[in-house]
Amino acid sequence: MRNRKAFHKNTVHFFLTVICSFLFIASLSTDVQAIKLTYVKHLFDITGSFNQPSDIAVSEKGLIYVVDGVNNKVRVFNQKGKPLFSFGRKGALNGQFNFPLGIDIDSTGKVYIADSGNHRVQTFTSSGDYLSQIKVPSNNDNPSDPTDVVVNESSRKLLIADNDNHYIQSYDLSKGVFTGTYGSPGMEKREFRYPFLMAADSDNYLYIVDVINTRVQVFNPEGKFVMIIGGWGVEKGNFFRPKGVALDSNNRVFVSDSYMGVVQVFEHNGQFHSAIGDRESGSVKKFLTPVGIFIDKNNRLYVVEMFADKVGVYSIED
Amino acid sequence: MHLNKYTLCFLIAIAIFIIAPGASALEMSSKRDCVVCHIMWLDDFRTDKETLVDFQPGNVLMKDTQGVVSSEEICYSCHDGYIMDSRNITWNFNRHPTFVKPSKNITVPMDLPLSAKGEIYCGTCHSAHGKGASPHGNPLGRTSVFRDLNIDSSLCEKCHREEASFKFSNSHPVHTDALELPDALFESGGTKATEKNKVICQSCHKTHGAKGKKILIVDNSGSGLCVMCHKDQGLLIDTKHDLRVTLPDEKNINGQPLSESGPCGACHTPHRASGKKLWARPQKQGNPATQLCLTCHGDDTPYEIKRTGKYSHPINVDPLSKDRIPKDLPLFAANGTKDSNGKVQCFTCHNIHRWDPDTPSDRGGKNVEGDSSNSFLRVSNNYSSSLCLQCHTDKKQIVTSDHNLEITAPKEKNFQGVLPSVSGPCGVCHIPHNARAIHLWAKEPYGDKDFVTQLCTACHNENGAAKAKLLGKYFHAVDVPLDKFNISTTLPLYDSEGNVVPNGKVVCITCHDPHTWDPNNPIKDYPNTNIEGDARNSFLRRTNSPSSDLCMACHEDKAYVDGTDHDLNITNRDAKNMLGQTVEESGQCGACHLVHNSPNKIKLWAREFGAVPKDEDIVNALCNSCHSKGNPAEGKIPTIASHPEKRLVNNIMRSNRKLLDYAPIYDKQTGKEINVGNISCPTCHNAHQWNPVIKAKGSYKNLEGAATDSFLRNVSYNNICIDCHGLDALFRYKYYHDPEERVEPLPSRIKFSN
Repeated sequence: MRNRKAFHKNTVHFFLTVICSFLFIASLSTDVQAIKLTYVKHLFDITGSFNQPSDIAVSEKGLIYVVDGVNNKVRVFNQKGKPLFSFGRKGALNGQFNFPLGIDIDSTGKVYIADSGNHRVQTFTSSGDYLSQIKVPSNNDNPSDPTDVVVNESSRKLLIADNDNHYIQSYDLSKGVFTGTYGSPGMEKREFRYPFLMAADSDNYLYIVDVINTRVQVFNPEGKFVMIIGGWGVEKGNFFRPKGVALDSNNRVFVSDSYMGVVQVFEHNGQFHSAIGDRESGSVKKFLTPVGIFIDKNNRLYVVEMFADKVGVYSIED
Repeated sequence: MHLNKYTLCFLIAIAIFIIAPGASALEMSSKRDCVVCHIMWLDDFRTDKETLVDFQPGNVLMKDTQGVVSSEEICYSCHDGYIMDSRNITWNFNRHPTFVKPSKNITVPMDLPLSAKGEIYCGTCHSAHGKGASPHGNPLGRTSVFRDLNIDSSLCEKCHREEASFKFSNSHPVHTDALELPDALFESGGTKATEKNKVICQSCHKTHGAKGKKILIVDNSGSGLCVMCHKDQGLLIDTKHDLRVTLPDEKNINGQPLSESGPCGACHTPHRASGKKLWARPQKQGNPATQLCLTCHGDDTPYEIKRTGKYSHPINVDPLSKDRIPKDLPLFAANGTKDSNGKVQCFTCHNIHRWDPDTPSDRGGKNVEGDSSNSFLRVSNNYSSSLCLQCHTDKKQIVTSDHNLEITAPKEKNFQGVLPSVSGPCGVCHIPHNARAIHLWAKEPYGDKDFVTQLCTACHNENGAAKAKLLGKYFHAVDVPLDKFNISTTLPLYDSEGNVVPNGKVVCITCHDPHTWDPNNPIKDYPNTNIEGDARNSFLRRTNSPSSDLCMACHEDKAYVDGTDHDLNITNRDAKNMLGQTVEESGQCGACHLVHNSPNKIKLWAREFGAVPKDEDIVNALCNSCHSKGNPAEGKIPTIASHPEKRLVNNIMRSNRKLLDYAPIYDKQTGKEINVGNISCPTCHNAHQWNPVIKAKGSYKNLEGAATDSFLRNVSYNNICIDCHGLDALFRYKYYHDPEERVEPLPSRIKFSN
């Protein structure tokens, strides 16, 4: 009987020792690895009468165009954020919108708007006068859902993300004629699940935010798959809801994540570089639902915070 | 130290949890598609690496616990246009309250979870694993990511049970199709039900994208939503019943100011009203179709606006008769619903939502005093009192009669100063609320007689609108009870307050119905000018020609004149009375008696008195007015017709007019009945009855009389003669008018001067 009690006592000591050891190891392992930050300086916010804006682009002349989709308008500001004019209203006629989402501007200042609800892309002059439109066709019975547009002037292409049909449509920029599609639904390379905003680098490589696949796919100007940026998760270099993509003058790739509220920076080769940081706190800068982003030639980062109804304007410090 | 096997298992479990930090998440399933929403299931949170978002503990699989998966941020991360664009629907306008505890009126069923704080959250209604996943919704209630089917708002009703049980909670009806739901309702965001015109919660409410408060599909602060369906009620806006106009500081029972409730909401609330009609103000006991009005217009309310006054039209009463149920006016059952077998209520005459029935666009206004053409009446009442006459059909002739003062006295105002052209024919004398007296009297009182007389003399006085139609010096007795004369009648008798009572008095309206010009033949083509009446019309309750039915209603014993030689219809139709009326115009009685404006006090005699010698009884002059030369009965002039003077006769035993031996004696000058005097014509003759023993009308032939008839009052063997002359009386009686056979010599004084 005495021996039996001693056995139990030893067993208890054994388990307590094991538990304490692992608790000690576990406490050491919780020392997280710090994420490299790229600091930005807040210049100003553009606010006003936005209602859940989605995307932004800055023209060569420095005019800031914001897609204020729920208001069915595109609002235009100067470099200081002063409102200049707006164009569009709800409807389906020329120059009218039905909850537009994406925008691009070519070198001449021509503005391209993905008029999602009207299943088309409309073009306007820099002053907002209607020019033309491309009706984006359905995929069999599934209506098109053009959510963003990128102009490739050198190859004379107009690339349109068809969100609901999970591919990219290509058009001849001059004639507005459909020339083909990139990709198909799925999770593999060159496959998409809800492609959304896009951007092009200086070599006209196309960067497509593949939202539910939580990645950015990169295609060359011929539409061939090049690489994948980012991955699935909540660690650095991962995405949960990637939404916007932009490139700086060094072709670094900036990607916004609306749920995590961050903007991450990747090298041109796709390697994680850093997260946009807040110098005051020394930690990752948090945005409220960052979606469309843009970096102008002055290295200013524009972040559309949809739920906050504002656009934050920052200078990138390094 | 003793450890049992359970303790050991517990310690091992803790050790495993600590050793393998990612194992727990893996057990919950970290399949990628699950993590699209269930972010906290990511293994990343269980490594030593820094994450871009913080781990939020909380067992998302536990029932009634809100996890990150059901947070607004997760929903918005897809519904912001990047997967589904719900920005406008869900986040641009109002939506069902979330992150609040259900109100005390709500019972959330067990299968709809609340958050750990007991609050409603997205996941209360939504789940990707719900019953009815259908991407865009369908009529069978399959809507994307709903926890349960939502057929005709069935999901709403799972919590909002009181609203669904609308009859018990005094809420707006649902699942009924009483009204046609307009396209505008659906164009504004209302959801169509599975059946046409069926009202469901989502007819008016939207859980997301609601543009009005209380998640109404549109802003209803101006009651725009209500009037989409209730178009007619929308005519209330900007009228006095739009309390924004008249009582801008009012609040309904929910404490809502008018800016929030809107004009409809001031009085009606769609859910949990105080009573019927979705009433949003304190409600009194009684029929809602009246009591709702009295909420503001009652005498005991603080609102001193348009009270009904002491004298007001009766309510909660049956219609006047079964054959007088109004066609265009509703009656109401006890619960306030329209019912053709119901009673008269305020709502019977008033449509409180429409100021002007003829011109609905006319909204009146705060400072506009109403009249009978508007005032929220169901039917305009100004020109021909159409509203009143819906029920009071027996008064219809007033419109085409001299009592329509719009025609005969257009400048005559009622006591409120309103002209007939504005008040309508009825409104000149009656107003439905705040009248001067009973009968809803609307005229200033005139004279010092009782009220009933004042009704007529208000106009029929020397300075009144009807000054051309006065009673004259001598007229039929009024304000007298009939029982004094042992007379009964089928005509109405009145007390001093104007109520019809069996033992009342004779007043003007005993014989006259001021609303009916002709009791038998209504005027078809009224000339719109004052017309002269006669015995066939003149607002008499009964026609008095050719048969004097009206007079005979009281003077029953005089009715036997009908068809006798004293009925000038039989004997002399061309004869005229003092007013120049033939018997057709005056009626039988009117040939000899004038009810109004008679120059003669005695018997209101309608003819010139016949000549009688000095000291002769004046009553004989009545007979002589016809029975004299040049007059209608000149063929029936007795050669001798008087009794010797100074032989006074006493008829004390023959003064009861009900007895067969009645033999009246009259005062010579006044013609009043006395008991001691001389015999005159009516002592022996009853001018109204041909045969003393046959109480019947005449034969309608001109007959030659004999000693047994000839209007003799009594049979020969029981006449007054026997009181003095005994057995000789019969002889004297028979030869009374025979100068040759009479006992006494012919006295010169009674010899007629022919």
